[in-house]
Amino acid sequence: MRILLVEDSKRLQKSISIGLRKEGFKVDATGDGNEGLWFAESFDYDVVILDLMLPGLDGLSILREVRRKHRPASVLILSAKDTVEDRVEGLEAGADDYLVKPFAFEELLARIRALIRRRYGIKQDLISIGELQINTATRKVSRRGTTIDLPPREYNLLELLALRRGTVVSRAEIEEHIYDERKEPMSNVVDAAVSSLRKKLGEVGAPSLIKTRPKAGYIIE
Amino acid sequence: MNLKPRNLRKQLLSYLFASAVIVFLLTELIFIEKNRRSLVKISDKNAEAYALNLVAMTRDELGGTTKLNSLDEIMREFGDRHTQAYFLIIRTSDNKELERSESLQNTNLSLPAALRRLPHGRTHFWTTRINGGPVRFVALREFARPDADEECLFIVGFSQRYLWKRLQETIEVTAPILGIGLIAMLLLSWIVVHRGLTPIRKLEQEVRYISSSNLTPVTIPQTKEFVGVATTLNTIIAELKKSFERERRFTANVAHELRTRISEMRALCEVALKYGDNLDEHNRSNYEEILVSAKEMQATVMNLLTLARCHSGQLKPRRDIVELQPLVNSIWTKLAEQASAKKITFQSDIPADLSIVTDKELLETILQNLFSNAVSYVTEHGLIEWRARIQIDRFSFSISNTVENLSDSDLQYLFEPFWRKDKVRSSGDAHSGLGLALVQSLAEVLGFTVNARLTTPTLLTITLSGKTSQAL
Repeated sequence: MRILLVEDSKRLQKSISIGLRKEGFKVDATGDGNEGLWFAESFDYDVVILDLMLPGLDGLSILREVRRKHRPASVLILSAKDTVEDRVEGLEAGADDYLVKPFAFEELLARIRALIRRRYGIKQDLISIGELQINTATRKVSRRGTTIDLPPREYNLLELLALRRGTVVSRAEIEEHIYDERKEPMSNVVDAAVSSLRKKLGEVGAPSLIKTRPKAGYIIE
Repeated sequence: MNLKPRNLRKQLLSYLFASAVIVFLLTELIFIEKNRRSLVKISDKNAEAYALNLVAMTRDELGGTTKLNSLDEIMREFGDRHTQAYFLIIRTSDNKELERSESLQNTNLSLPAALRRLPHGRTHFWTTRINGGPVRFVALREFARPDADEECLFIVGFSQRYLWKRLQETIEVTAPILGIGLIAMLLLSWIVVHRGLTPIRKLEQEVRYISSSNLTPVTIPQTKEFVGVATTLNTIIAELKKSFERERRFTANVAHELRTRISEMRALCEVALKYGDNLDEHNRSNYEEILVSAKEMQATVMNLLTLARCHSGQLKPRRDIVELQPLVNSIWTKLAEQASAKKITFQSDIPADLSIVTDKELLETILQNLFSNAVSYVTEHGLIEWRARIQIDRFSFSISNTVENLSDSDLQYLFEPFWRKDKVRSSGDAHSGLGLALVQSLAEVLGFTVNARLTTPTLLTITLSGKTSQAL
C-alpha cells in the first residue's frame, strides 16, 4: 500500500515514515505543501496523511485540490488543530479521517488500515479467500490454521491482490503500491515476488490462487 | 459584604414620590396656615368692631353705674353663658372690673402684661383658653365717657372653635384633592422615570448579552448623557475583542507548537520501541521513560490548553442529552484496575433513568478528572462512593473518597491550578495538579457549580450541581 505523508516536522516525518515502512507500506514523505500537492496529483496513493499548517501551501488547500481533481486517495488529516470547528472544516473539505496531535502511533496505524479497508470495500480485518485467511490488522496469513510467514513486501502483494480480488492488477500498479522505485528500479521484482509468494502458498496447498493474465498483470479470482 | 443591588426605577420613583408628598404637604400646610391667618384676621376685625361698639355703649349708658342696660338687646351673644363670645370692661386707674359678660361668669381671665402699657386708643390681641377651648381676645384702651377722664380696657373675645371648624372643612375639601394629586403625581413620575430610563434600559439590554463569545458593540444612544458611556464601552469591547483574538492566536500557536513537539517525542519513542528489535535493554528503558514523560507532558499541556480556552471563552458548549449512569460506568471501567490495586471499596448510586442536558464531552472531562482524582488520592483499602440525584429542575453529582492529611483550611486551595498538598506532591504520581482546576473552569463554562467539603475528617466530598437543562 502506498502512502503519502505531508508533514513539516522533520522529526515526526522521519518517525512516521520509519514506522509505516516497517509495517510494509510504501511511503513518500515531504514537508512542503506545494511538493505534497505535486505528489498527490502525480501518484496513486491509498492514503494521504496530511498536516494542515504547512509551508508553501496549507493542508486544506491541498485537500480541496486533490478532491477537485477526483484523486481516489483516502485522506487522513493529522493536525494539532483540535477544535470541533477545525475537525468539521477538515472533514467537510473532503478528508476521510481526522487525527489530532499528539497521537499514539498504533492509533494512526489502525486508522490507516481502516481507510484502506474502506477504500477497497472491506468492513472487517479478516479477508477470506477459500481456505486462505489474511488478517489485515495483525498482518498474519494462514490456511487451515497453518500460519504462512511472509516478508512485508510479499504480504503487501498478497494483500493488494486480495483487496482487489476479481480485478487484474498490473505490474506497474503493484510496483507503485508496494515497491520503492528508488531502491527497486527493476520491473522483474514483481514477477519474482509473485513467484515466491506462489511457492509459499503452494507449501500449504494453495499454489494456484494467484493467476497470471499475460501482458495485463495478476489476479486473485 | 454582599449588598443586594437596588432597582434604579424603584429608587427614582420613591424619591420622586417622596418629593411630591413633601411638596404637596407643604403646600397644604401653607394653604391652611394662610387660611387660618385670614380667618384670625377677620375674627380680629370682628372683635375689634365689637370692642368699639362696647365703647360706644358705655359712653351712652355706663354713667355712674357699670350696668349696660341695652347690652342684652344689642349684643345678645354675650349674654348666654354657653355662648362663645365674651367681653370685659376694666377701669385702668384701679383695675376695677366694671362689667363682664354673662358668658364669662366667674372665669378668671388672665390678662397679658402688655395691656398695662397699652397706649390710649390702641388695641392688643392675644389668644388664651377658656373651658378648654381657644379664645381670641382683643383689648382696646379707651375712655368710658368722653367728658370724664376715665380710661377703661374694653376686652372682647370670641371662641376660635368655629375657626378650627372652618379650617377642618377646608382640609376635608383639600385632602381628596391632595390624594388625587399624589396619585396623578405617582403616575406622572412612573411615566417620566420610564421614559427617562429608556436609554439606560436599551443600553442594559445590549450590555446583558455581551460575553466572551459575543463582543458586539452597543448601539450609540440618542441621549447625550449616554453617548460617552456607550462610546467608552465600545472602545473597551473592541480592546477586549483584540485581546481575546490575541489570546486565541497565542493559544492556537502554543497548541500547535507543543502538540507537534510532543507528537515528535511520542512517535520517536513508540516507533523505536515497536520496531527497534536491536535496542538493548538500557536504550529500551530510556525510550520507555521518555514516552511516559511525553504522555504526562501531553496530559498537562492538554489541561493547560483547555483551561486557557475556558478562561478566554473559546469553548462553546453543545447541548446533548447525557445519560449519567452509562457515562460514569464507562469512566469507572477505565479506572477500575487502578482502584483495584489500591484494594478500595466503591459504592455507586446513580438512578438508571437520570439524564441531563449539557455538553457531553465537557461533562465527561469533568467526571474523568473527578474520578481520576478520587482514585489517585484515595487511601489504601479506602472508600470511593458516588451518587447523583435530581430534584425538580436541578441535579447534583457527588463523589467522595477517603483521604488523609487534608484539613478544612486546604479546601480553599483545592481548585487552584498546580496546588498540591506537600505530602501528595512527593508521592510521585502522574497528576500535575490541574485536574480540579479544570473541573471548576469547565463547570463554570457549563453553568454548574462545584464545591468540596470534608464530610468527615477523612472523607472528601466534591459536589457538582446545576440545572438539569442548561441554557448554553
